[in-house]
Amino acid sequence: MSKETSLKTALLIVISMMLGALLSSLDIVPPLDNDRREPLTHADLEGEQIPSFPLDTHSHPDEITEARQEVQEVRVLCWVLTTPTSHLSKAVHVRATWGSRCDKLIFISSKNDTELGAIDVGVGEGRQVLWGKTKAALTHAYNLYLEDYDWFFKADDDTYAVMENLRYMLAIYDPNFPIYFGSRFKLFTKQGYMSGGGGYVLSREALKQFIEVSLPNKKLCKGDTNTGAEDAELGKCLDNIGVVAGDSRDSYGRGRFFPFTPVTHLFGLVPDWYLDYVYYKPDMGLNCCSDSAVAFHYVDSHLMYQLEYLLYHLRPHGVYHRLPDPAPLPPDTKSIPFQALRKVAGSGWVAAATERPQQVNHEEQKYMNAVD
Amino acid sequence: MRLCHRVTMGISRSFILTLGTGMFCGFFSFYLLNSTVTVHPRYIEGISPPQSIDNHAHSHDEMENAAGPLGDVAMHSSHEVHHAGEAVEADILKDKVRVLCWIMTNPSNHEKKARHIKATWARRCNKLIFISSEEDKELGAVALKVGEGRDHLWEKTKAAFIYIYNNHYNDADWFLKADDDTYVIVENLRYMLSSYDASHPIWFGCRFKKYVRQGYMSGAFLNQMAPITRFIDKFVPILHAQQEYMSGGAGYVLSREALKKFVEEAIPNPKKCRQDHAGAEDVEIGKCMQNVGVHAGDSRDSLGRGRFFPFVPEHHLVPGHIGPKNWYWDWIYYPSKVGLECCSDTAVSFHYVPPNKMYELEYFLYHLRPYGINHLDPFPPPLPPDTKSIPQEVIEKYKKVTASTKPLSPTPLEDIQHLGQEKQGGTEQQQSDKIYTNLEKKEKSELV
Repeated sequence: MSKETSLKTALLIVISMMLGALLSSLDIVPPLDNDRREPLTHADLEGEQIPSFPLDTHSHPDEITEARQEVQEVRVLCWVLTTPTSHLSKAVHVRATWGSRCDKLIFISSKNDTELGAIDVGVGEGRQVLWGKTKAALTHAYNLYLEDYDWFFKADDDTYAVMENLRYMLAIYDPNFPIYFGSRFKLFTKQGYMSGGGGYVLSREALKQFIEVSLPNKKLCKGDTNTGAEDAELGKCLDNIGVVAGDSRDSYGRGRFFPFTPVTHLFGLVPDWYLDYVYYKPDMGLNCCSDSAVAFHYVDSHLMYQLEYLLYHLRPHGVYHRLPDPAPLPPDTKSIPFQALRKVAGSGWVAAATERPQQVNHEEQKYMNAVD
Repeated sequence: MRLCHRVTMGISRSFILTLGTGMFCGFFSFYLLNSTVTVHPRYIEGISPPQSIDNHAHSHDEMENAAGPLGDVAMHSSHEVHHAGEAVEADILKDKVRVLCWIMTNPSNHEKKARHIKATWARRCNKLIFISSEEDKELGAVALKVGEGRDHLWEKTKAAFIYIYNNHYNDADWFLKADDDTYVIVENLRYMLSSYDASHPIWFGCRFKKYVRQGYMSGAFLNQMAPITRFIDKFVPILHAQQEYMSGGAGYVLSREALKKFVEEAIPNPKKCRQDHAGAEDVEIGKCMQNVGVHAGDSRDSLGRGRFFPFVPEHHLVPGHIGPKNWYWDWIYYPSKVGLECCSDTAVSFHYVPPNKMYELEYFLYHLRPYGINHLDPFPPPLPPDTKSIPQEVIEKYKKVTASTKPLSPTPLEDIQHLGQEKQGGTEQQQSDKIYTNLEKKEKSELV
């Protein structure tokens, strides 16, 4: 072979390999996924095996509640977005686990089901009408339940919520003050908005003003169409009428509402875009997440029963974990107007906080852990 | 026409062949590269993707690549206000029921797995030893002169117990063996053991039964015929070659007397205990224990729910994970349910737990809690259903104790509240009142 042809062959080989490499990066064939990653989107949850009927749970006769009266009395209505195809595969498991701890549980769907507690809000199905569904759900809650409940909590049918901790967090706030909480994101409005996936909760006054003042006004709120990102749209509507976007973290700056699974947050496996959106920068390791965390997302039905077992049944004997009550204020005290705090007659019930909030001192922690 | 002709002349067969081969090689090498290098957005540098909850293991081969985070995982300080004073009851039990934990590991797992065990559950043992073939003072790993690999596990087990008997016999009342993929809730282990006397030869774990070689019939064959053989066993005991033992992976715990009998009587005696290095370590120790008269205890709670588990919680909780043909149903000694009835509220151990899941379990069991619920476990713990397996003295003692005392309740809040407040320099109430009045003043001044 002449020198010229061998050179041409070598060049050809190099070029063809680069072409091949380029082709593989085009994702024509999906990459091998040896271990399944944590679900980061709803598509990741599709096709998973689901228990065909809700599992029996048992209660504990020797369980005593040490919750303060003020916390127990907080009434929360939970409205959970679901679809007719998910009634029997997801909604029933919500009802069998955490949903039954709501004071009222309504599934927002496009098909009525009185046994489950699902209603047809009349906007159809699909991701394009989620904003429409949200408006319809809030309108429904306003029409029927405004006076009966203090707080209105939105969740998906793949959210797991610890209702006792939600009441614990909310008990220090006044439901007659317009404020809402959730996993706070920072774009689109001055105050930011609450991520739909992480769940959010509106005070009674916030719901009232949303329906009466914001929704009818085209300048304040996109009331006429059903399309749009439901969480960002709601955020804009609430921000435009001055509803306060609260800080849902605990006094150590650890989050309580999470748009991903516990593992995703514990190990910092969140997607890059999340770090651009998140309002308060999250900490690492177990410091990401509060001991009084409220909600996690992309929780499939298997994980729901696991969480039920790990949180409400299995526990180390002799370890009595007590959260300080009332709940101390979160670090962003600027975001808490004085009027938002609940005032109860008589001393003893006040919103506890330190002037300079308890930041987690990493150096001190390392020392403490080493000393232990 | 001529251009076309010239082009086709240029594209010879070897040209196409080279092009094709090159593209093929390039495509697949980069494809594999992309698949193995999982491109996760890394918030913390160097963290490997966790084993997804759905993709949990059923064998040690599947656990081979499970590795935990490369750095240290930040934990909550125990001095935090909601953790202070929480373990008063548990600490009392820690002094009364002393547990030595030894973890079976090997040098390649010191960094990958053993370290995470030490950072999570094993620090709650009274004494912790990692049994390996290479020393590691920082970890606490002891080097024993044994071979590595799955066919030397029995040799390692014997060597480990001998080492512990020689060096730590008086350091504990109970001696727990666990793998480096076992997660143990040590407080619940103490709770279960508190009824028993360590000077009695007894051991606990996830009780299994399986067929062993009987004449010409191999154990495996008999196991495969399990539904038939068990039926025949009821009438004709000739097939009764069932070996009872405790699952090695789920962990098992020996009383001090059981340890003594095992090391002094069983190990040296070829008639009682297998002498070479091979054999399934859990089956072999089961035989030795049976041969020297160590009782196999019932580790379930009084409602018949298990406490030691050979899989992760989800496996037992959710139907469909353990298929109907799975070996588990034939081997498990006591009837085992699926669903929330499977597992005790005072469960002790789970197996095939990858390192990342250990931190998850830490978070769910020791940190995240629903506010205001305090579940009181009755004390002394009610006895399990299989009364035949409980020493008579234990039954008598339980009857006597429950007749007279009232059940234990957690330390009243007022008695321990100061433990959290001392660190803060003042009561929560005083501080909160101060803030409230400050905010009030601020508002009033703004109104003026």
